Amino acid sequence: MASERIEIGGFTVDPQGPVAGFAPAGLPSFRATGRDGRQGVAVLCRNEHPARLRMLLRLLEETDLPGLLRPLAQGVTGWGGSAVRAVIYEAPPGPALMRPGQRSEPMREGDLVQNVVRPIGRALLALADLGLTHRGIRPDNLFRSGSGPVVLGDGVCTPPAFAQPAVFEDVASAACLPTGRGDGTLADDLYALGVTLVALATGEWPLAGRDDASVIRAKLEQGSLVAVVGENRLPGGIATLARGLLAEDPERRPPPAELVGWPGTARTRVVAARPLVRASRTLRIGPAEVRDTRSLAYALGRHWQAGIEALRSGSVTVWIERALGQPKLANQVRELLGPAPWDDGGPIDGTLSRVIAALDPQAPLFWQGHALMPDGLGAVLAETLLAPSSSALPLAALDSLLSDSVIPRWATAPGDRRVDRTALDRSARQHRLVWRNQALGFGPERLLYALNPALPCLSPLLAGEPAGTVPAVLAALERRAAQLPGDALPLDRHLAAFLAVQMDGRLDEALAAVGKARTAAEAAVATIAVLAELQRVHRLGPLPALAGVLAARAEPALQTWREKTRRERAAAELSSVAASGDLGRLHALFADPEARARDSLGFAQAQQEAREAAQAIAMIRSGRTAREAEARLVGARIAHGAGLIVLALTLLSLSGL
Amino acid sequence: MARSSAVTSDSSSGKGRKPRESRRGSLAFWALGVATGALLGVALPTGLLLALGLAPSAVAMVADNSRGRWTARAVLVFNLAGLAPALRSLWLEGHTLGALARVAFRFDGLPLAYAAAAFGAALPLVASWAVLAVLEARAAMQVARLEQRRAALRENWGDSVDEPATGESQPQARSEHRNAQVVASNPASRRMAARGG
Repeated sequence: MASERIEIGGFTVDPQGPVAGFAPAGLPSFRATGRDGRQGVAVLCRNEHPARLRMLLRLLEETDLPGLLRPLAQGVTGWGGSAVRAVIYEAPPGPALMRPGQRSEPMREGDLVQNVVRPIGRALLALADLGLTHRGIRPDNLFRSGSGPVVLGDGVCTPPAFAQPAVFEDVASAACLPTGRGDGTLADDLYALGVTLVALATGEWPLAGRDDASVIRAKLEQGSLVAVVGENRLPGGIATLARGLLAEDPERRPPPAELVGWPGTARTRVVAARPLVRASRTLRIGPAEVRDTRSLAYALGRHWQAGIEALRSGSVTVWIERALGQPKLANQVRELLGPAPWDDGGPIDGTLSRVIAALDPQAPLFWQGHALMPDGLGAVLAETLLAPSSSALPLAALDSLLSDSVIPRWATAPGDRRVDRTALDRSARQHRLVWRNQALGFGPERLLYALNPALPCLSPLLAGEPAGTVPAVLAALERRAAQLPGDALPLDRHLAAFLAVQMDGRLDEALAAVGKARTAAEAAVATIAVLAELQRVHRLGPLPALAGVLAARAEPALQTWREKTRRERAAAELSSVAASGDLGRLHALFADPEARARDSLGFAQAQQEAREAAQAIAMIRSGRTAREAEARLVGARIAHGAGLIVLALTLLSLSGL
Repeated sequence: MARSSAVTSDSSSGKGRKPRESRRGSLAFWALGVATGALLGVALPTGLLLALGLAPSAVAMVADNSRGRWTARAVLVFNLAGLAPALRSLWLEGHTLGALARVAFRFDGLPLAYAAAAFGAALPLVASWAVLAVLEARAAMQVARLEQRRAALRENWGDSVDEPATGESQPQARSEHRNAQVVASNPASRRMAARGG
C-alpha cells in the first residue's frame, strides 16, 4: 500500500486513513480532504472491473442530486504499481443501514416510506432524467444519519450491478457474469429497491447464506416475491409496494414518480404475472430438473454440455411438445436446430444460444455456460483480458463470441426482445473487425479501451504512471523517456490502442505506418509523426526528453535524404530540434512531405542531368572524325577567301591604282 | 490530299535533281568549250597562256571531289593571282606568240602561276589543321566542364545519381516518388506541413 498522499481533483487522499463499509466489492477507500477542508471518501477502482465513466462525468456536472451521494471529483492515480481511476465522494452522512448477511432491527413502515422509499424515488427520478441507472441499490449501500432520510451510495466505481448479490437482481441479471450485467433499465433499480425494502422491513438479509445458483433457482421456481420474502410477514403498505416492485413483468413495477409520493400516488395495477405453463413431468438437464420453459432456458445455459447433449438427443423438443404441451414452441426450436447433422460437431454453440433465447426472450445472452447482457461486453472483456480467472469468461469463449457474430444472431432469435437489432449488428461487425485486426492500434487492446473509457493507459512502458488522457500519457512518456529499455520505441500496442481510441480513429493510418515500418528507424519516424500530431492537437508544451529518445532512434533515417546538403543540414539540426521538444519540427527533419517530394524530384532531375552529361561526353569523344571533316571544310573556305583577297590585291597592284 | 500532292511534288523534284545537275554540268562544259574555242580563235596567245597557266587548277578541279570543291576553288584563285602578271606582260609586249614564249618562261610567268597554285593547294591543309586544333580544344573544354558537373552531382546526390539506368533504379525512383506522395497524403503529415513543420 502506498503511504504518500495522493492528489485527486483538488482533494488530498490519505492512504493511512481507510474507510470501511463504504466502497462496493472490496474496493479500497480512504479519507479525502478538499482544499477548502471539505471531507470526502476516495474510492480506488480496479482496472479489471472498470468504473462507469460516462455516468460519473454526468453526475459530476449535476449540482442537484437528491437522495444520492454526490461524486465530487475523479481522476487517475498510481496505486499499487499500476494506474487506477479514483473517485472522490462526499462523506456519507452515517453508517450503512445493514451489513451483508447481518440481521438488524426491522424498520417501521412509516420510516421506510418516509426515509427510504421517497428519497430513493427522488434519486431514481433524477437519474431517469439524466438517462442513467444506478444498479447498486441494496441495504449496505444506503447511508443515513440518525433517523434522517437515506442517501444512495456508489453506483459508478464498478461495472453496473457488479457488487449486487444475486438476490437483489432479477433472474436475467442475476444469471449474468457480475461484470456482464450491463447498464440495464430503471426497472432493474426498482427490483433492487423492492428486495431492499423487504430486507429493511424484515431486518434480515434475504436468502442469506445461499449461493447465486440456488437464489436463481428459488426465484425461477417460486417467483421473486415469494422467494425473497419467504416466511416473513411484511407491513401492509410495504407488502403492496414490494409486490409491485418485484413483479416479474418490468412494465408493471411502479415508476419513481409514484414512489416519491407513496402511498398517496399509489396506483392500483394488476401485478400478477402471467402464470408459467408447467410440464406434466420434469426434464433433466445435467444436475437440474426443470418443469417450465424459463427454467429450461437457464438450465440449458448454465449446463452447456448437458444442454448440447439434450438438444442432440431431441429430448428437449419432445419434452416441450408432449410434457409442456407447446407444439408451436417445439417447432420453433426444431427450426432453429435445422436439418444439420448433429453428430459432426457443427456450430452447435450458436444454435443452443438461440434456442435459449427463443425459450425465454427475456433471458440474457448465454454463451458456453456463461451469461451476459450485450451492453455488458466491455466489462466482461476487461475482466477476461486483465484478470483472467475461473469466474471470468474464458478467452476462447470471448474470442468465438466476438468472431462468430453471436450477439446479433442471438438478437434475431424468435421472441420479443427489447434490443436494437440493427445497432447490435452494426456494433458487432465493428467489434469483430477491430478484434481480428492485428495492426498496431487495433486488436483486443483497441476494443478494451473503446468499450471501457474509464480505463487508464495500461502500457508497461508507463510502469504504472497514471495516465487517463492523451496529455497525461505524453507527460508520463516524457518522464519515462530516459528509462526506456534498449532500442524500444515509446509506443506499444496498449499505448497505440489507447491513443487511437482517444483520438476517435484519426490516428489509425499513422499508427498503421508504425506497424508496417521495415526498419527500426522508419518505425521511429512514424512514431514521431503520431506523437507530433498529438502534441499539435492537444497544444502540449515541449517534450525534450521524448524528442531526444526518438531522435536517437530515428537518426539512421536521415540517410534516406538523397540530397547531401539537406542530409547534412538535418543531421546538424537534429540535436537542437530534439532539445527544443517540438516533435513537429523533429518530424519535418525526417519526413516533411513537401521536402521529401522535392528531394525525390531533385534526385530524378539530377539523374537525368548526369545521364545527359555522360551522353554529351561520349558524343564529343566519338566526334573527332566529324570535327576533322568540319576542319577541312572550314580550312578550304578560309584558303579560298584568302585566295580571293590575294587575287584582288594583285589585280589592284597590276592596274596601277 | 494536299499532303499527298506535296509528297508527289517532292518526290518528283527529288527524282529530277540529278538529271538537272547533269544537264547543268554538260551545259557548262559545252559553254567552256565554246568560250575556249572563241578565245583561242580571237586571242590565241592569251588563250594559250590561260590554258598552260591554269593547268594546276584544272587538275585540282578534277582531283577534288569534295562537296563545294573548296580546295579546287582556292587553287583556282591563287592560280589566277599568280598568272595575272604574265597576262599583263603578254598584253603590254604585243600579244604575240613570241611574246607569249618570252613571258611564259620568265619568273613572273608560269613559274609564279604554278607556285601560287601550289600555295593555294597547301593553304587549305594548313588552315584545316589550325581549325581542327581550335575545335579539339573547344571539345576538350566542353568535356572538362561536363565532367565537372557530373562530379558535382555525385558529390551532392551520391554515386547512385550517375549510375547507368538499370531495370531496378528506375522503379526504385518511382517507388520513392510514390512514397513521398503517400507521406504527403497522410493527414497527420499534411497538417504538419500546412503549419510549416
